[in-house]
Amino acid sequence: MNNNYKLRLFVLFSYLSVFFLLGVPLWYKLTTIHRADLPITYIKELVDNKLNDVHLKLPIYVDSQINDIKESAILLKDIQSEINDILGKNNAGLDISVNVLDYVKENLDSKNENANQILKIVKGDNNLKMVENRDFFSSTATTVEVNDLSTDYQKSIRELSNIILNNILGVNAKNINTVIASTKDINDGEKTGVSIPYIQDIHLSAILLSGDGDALGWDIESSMSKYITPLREMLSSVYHFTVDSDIVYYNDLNLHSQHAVNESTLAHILDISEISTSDEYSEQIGLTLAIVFPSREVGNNGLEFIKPKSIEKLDGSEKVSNDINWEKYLIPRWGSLIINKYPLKANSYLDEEFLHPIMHKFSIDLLEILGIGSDMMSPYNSLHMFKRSVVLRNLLKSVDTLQSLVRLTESFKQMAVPEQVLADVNTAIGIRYEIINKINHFGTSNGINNNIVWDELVLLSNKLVTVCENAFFDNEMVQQNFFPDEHKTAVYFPFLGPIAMVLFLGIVNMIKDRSHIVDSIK
Amino acid sequence: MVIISNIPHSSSIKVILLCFIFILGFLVPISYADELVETHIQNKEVEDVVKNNDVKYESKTSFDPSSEIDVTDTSILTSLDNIESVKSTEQVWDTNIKTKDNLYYEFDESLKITPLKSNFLLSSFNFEINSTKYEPGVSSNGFDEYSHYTVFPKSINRIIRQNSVRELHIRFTRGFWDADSWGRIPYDGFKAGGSGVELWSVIEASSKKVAYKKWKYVANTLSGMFCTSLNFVDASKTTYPYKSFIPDYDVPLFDGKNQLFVMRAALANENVCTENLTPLLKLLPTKSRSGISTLLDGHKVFDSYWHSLSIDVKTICEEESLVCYDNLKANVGVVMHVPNTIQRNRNPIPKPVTGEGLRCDTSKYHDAYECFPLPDNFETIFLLSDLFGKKLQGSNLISNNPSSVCVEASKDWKILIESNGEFFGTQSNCFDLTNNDKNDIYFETKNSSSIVRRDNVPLFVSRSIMSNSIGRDGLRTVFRNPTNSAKSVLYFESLPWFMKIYLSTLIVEQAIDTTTGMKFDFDIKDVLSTLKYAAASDRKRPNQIEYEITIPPHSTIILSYQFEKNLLKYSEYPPDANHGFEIESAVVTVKGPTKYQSRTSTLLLVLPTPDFSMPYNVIILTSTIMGLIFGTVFNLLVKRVLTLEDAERIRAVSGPKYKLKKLKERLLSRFGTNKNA
Repeated sequence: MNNNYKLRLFVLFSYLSVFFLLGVPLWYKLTTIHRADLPITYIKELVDNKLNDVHLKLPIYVDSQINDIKESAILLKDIQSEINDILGKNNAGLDISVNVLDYVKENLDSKNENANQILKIVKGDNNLKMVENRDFFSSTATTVEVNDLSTDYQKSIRELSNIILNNILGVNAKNINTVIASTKDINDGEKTGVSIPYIQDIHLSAILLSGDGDALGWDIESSMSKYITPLREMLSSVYHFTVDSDIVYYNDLNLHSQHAVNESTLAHILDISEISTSDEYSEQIGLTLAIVFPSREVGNNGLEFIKPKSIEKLDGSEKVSNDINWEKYLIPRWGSLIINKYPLKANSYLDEEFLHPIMHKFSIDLLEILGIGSDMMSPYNSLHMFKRSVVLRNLLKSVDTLQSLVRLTESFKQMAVPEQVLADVNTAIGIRYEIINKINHFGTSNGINNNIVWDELVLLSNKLVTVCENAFFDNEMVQQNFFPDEHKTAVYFPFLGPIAMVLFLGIVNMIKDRSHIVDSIK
Repeated sequence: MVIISNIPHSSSIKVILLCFIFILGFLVPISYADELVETHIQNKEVEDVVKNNDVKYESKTSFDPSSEIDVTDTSILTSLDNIESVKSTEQVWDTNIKTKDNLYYEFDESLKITPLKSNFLLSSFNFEINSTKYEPGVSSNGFDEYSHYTVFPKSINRIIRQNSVRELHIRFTRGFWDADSWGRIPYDGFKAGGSGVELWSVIEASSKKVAYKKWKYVANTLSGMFCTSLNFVDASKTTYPYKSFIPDYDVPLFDGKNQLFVMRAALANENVCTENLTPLLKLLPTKSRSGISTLLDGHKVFDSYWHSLSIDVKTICEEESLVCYDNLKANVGVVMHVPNTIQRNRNPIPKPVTGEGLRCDTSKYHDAYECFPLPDNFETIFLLSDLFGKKLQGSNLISNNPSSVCVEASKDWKILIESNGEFFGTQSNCFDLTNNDKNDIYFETKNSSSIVRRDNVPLFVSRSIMSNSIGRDGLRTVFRNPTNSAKSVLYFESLPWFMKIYLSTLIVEQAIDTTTGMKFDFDIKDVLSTLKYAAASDRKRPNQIEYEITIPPHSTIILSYQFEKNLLKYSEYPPDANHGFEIESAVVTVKGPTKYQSRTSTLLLVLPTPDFSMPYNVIILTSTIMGLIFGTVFNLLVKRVLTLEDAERIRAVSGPKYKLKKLKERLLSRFGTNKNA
């Protein structure tokens, strides 16, 4: 009996060991979700030191036409040391250095001239005054008039250095802090919600809306050729635009529906839902210029809140005034809205003369909505600043996304982390390293093509953001985010419950038998 | 005089101006007709007509004989408005904006109204738009490349340009077209689809795979645009027709290396409603605010016996100038039952007819309690606005051609157009709307059964599912040719993959001469000239059958074949699995002499549906069995095994009997002790 008991005890323990040592771990292994081993420590280190490994070296070409070569060299050296002083004092949170180069010595060809940032110092009547750029899109250099440098040489050097840092390179402490302070917003425009996030492919729509149904026409082709074509050309390295125009009848954006429309109620009354919808273009973002004429239902005197006014425009070199009966509104992240005071007559035709001031304002608004900024002496300088801002922002954004990914995986212990997420994270880290490497080595060789490097960096940084977002929004990971443990238990309990019960009762029986045996021996 | 009596006396200037405008209205006739204006009936005359007839459906608001002309009349109100506007300042315009002569766009619209038998009325709204011309193959990313739209819808243009679509056809059709009574389907059936939604397209692509990707994109986009379920169109629903739906002209190919692919899909019995009509109206430049589209109200269009919405887009290239443009044709066809529609518009909540309103058959006994109602009255007077609830709001103002309304009616009908209280008629019953006022169409007849003879239907086709007891079902198609000539017919059918077809069972079940009743001895090879069959692949491709069949004159041919129902996976059943699966209509195209297309009705296939709680039951049952087996084996191995003697011995000292005995002894000893005490 004793031997029999031992054999049964052995069988019981065999079952128990198979159940607990093989079955339970196997069940656990097979039913446990896969969580790839993300480089969490490395990402946390990146979060703590977001831009510490970035060393921005920017070249500026100075073309001094007021003195001889020897004096120019001294001037450049003085500007360099002044800039170094200013940058040393400003604790902007980003390691920046500016390399002041001689425009004549570097011998930039015309191609490279457009691609680099240049300061031209010319002789003029005014002392240290920036010359206004007449031709909006063709300016590549910033020109400063100088009458006499020798009067207060140190002050002149300081002012020239400030022009380089603030107006040309845009690397003053305020700008850089704006970039670094906010991980979501890059410039003032975006901070206030005006600008769109950077995306390469953008659709532009120019829409003429009339509240009535009479036939209309407009000379949009020539207006676009004059204002949008050079803009598309200038921004071609960072933006690909598709542009179209449309005429929409019987739609005045709901302006006719209220008799007392004014500027304060305009935002509530305007209905832009039916124009420029995403059905009409394949790009992710569409920007719109809407020129709206109210329906005749608004009354004989048109919209009361639109006051006729006069604007000045350049006709060649002459400034002429022009009476207009419309008001322009900038709708953040959407586009420009031109509301006309009066309805249109039948067979109205908007000619170039009418459209030009509108298109001019729209092209400026467009730069603002894109985040490039409209308060500038030269749009090319703003474009250079914009590219640098986009790269820095994307670097910050990518780290933020990776940080969010880490938080997500740490918060949801039951969420699967597929290998694809790990692969995306590794790719992102690789791209980031490549970008940092390129930034750090940029500007070390003279005569480098500013555009090519930064265009490449913009694309790379955009790719970085996309890869990080792919990792965060991985389908398999998010789908299993809310897979409950209770579900698992419900499915396996009908199988595990009876087996565990049988084993448990077996153990109880064995204990009872043991007490019987002990009793019988006694 | 009548007018003056209704105008306030204090406003003498108004009165003078009103008289002037009224006289001007007489002197300057409004031109509506493209032909000679024959009839010019004044209000009074129409009132007489109304009075002298047994009016059943006249509009009281417009034709009330007692109304004369009072200030509530719309036309007068318009005149008063004019007076007010003369008094106030004139409309101010922006002087910076110039005008241009001959500013018109390529947009046409027309409405064709046809009375049908049994007091039905067919209204067919047609719209045609051409896009601006463009050079094919030019990238839109060039710095100087701009697309300009004027009247052509940008959303449709995006779909066709982006996906190299050379033709696009969408159909939304519901209801019953009574071909026996009403004759041919409008436009010989080429603008109507089967019940539900139908989509087919010609797409230019380098390979079938690329074409399918574009097709899927087109379907998804249209699904969003027209609020349909076209996003459910996938490979298992897409067919590639061989002969049906193939364009009969040279479709332009922008890139010589590419090929053209014709793809088609249908969603049988998909509901068609206002959410489909509204996007269609938004495609029009008039946005249903002027022209004939003002009549299109979802409540009226879909409260009809038969309705069909169609959109056809084609890319047309001019060989000489090497430029192309896109052409869009939209059509809305509605069949309404005139008495019912008017009755419903008057009384949205149905009420029983009053005793006075009952029209009893006087040849039979009738009193206050018994009445044999007469069929519909053939005398009828009504306005178009009585049916659609609105008047026509003038013409479109963007086209060189004014909006037009044509009524195709017999000479027994009096058709007039009403504008500002005046009525005009033309010989052809066609009216061009050249003003921007509200217009209405007046219909009057003493015999509504007198209609313009429509061409006979060249072929009737019906289809049904047969069930038998041996597990296989059958599909039977009946072709009936009522004409004097043999008809060569193209038959196209797409069946879901879960219908496993046995094509070898395709037979001519019966062939009968309908005039003599004689049976023909036809073999399948005698009637079918070609047969194309693409077998289904589970979950990847539907069955596609396409054949050419010749139907002799005055004969009926019945074809049938058998099929088996496949079982679906648990998750493939829809929520209402017991409803059955809708099978799309078959498409029949008569090749000549006049082309005609019709569709059979849809079918409902009932598949065996599983018990949807089955998976959990399986888990429970399997686990129980496994638990039982395990328990048995485990107990055998772990429980103590004894000889019978040992067991008896143990039972004698620990069994239930022993325990009862012990309990009894204990109780007795306790009671015995108490007694003694």
